[in-house]
Amino acid sequence: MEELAKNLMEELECKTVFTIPVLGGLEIKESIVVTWIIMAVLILLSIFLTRNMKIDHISKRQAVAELIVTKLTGIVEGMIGEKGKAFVPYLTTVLVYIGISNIIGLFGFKSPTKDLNVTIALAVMSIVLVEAAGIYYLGVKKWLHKFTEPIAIVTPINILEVFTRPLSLCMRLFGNVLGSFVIMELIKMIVPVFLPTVFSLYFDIFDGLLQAYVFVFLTSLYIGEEIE
Amino acid sequence: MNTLIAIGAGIAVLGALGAGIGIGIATGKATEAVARQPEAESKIRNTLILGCALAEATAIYGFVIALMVIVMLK
Amino acid sequence: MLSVDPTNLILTVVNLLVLLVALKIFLFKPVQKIIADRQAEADKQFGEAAARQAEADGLKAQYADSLAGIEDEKKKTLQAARKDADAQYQKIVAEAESKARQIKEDATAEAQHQKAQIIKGAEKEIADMVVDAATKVVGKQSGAEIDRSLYNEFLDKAGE
Repeated sequence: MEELAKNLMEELECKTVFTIPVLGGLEIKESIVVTWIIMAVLILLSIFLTRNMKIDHISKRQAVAELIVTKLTGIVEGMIGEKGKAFVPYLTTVLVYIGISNIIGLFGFKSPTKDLNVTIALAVMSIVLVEAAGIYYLGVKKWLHKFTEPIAIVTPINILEVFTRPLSLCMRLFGNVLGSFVIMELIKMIVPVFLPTVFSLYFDIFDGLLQAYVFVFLTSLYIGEEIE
Repeated sequence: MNTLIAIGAGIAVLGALGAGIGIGIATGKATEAVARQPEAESKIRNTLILGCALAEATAIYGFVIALMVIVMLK
Repeated sequence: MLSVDPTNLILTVVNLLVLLVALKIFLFKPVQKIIADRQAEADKQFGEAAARQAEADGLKAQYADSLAGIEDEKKKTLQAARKDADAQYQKIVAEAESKARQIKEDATAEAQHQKAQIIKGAEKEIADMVVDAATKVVGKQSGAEIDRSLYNEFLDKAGE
């Protein structure tokens, strides 16, 4: 049992891969390196897919690229509506990034979303985007006034919401990935064959993609609320 | 000390109770909705899955706090 | 796992922004542009097709018009021709009739004339004969005998 706990802790720990010797040594963690790998794969894939596109007589590659883009933007547009068209590229990017991060554990990498830093960064970006959208669409005065709605007495709660929203976003994503990871590890230790495959379908693929969807859905919900 | 930590983690995980009840109620209502309007099944299913994912969050919070209790206090 | 590290936070933010920009440049923009292009192309083709359709419809109407005109003209021409022919026929018949009448009249006049001439000839002959007979009788006899013989002679001559 001791060994199991130790193993688990080791798996959970995000190691420092290397240190850049500037500003007193910047520690680059595993999650950042995996993010770089994901970025490189995504960018190369999109360059490969969108090479010499034509209007008609399209190649299979282009059909795949168009299908992916239209499906993903369709999902995001369905969530945020006509009004928030400007946020679609960001939300789609986040959707793709979280989705791939969640299932990249299947390929032997450590999921970046298992690192609290990544989910905090994502949540902070989301809430900054939400508030920025509010300021941009409503103006500072109206945006500030929104904190006193529907009645003035809820202002502290509204202000608190600015902090609880990203916290809940970040913790939901982090906890889900971590939880499914721990459960998967436990299952792997108890029954090493067959059973992990079945459960990984749910915990890694279904839950991972669902959490990416939920993250983007909530962000677009907040944005929609804010620019209403 | 270890016993106390274990008890604390166990209590934190009790948050899963709420998620279980919530998902149960949501599923029950979704079943009723499908029975009433079978043609809206796909929409109801999507909403249900989303609701479940959101309700699950409380259980996840409990799990994260239990983990934090174990890791931080050790 | 649970340690928050500013370096990695900032790096993640930077990573995401870079990914956003890169995907925007390499994936969303080109695909959306090609879809918009295709839409424009399709719209253009639809417009062209509609224009062509309208043109064809116009031509069709024109053809129908001209066809109707031709039919009309044909009918008119036919009618005119028939009328013409009728008139011609009438005229010919009338002409023929008048000519026939003329011929008949001429013939009647000729016959009358001839008849008159014959009668005239005969009268003259009779007169001659009478004169002849008279002279003959007068030369031979006189009195009642003369009359009788004259008469007989006349009858004889006339009976010939």
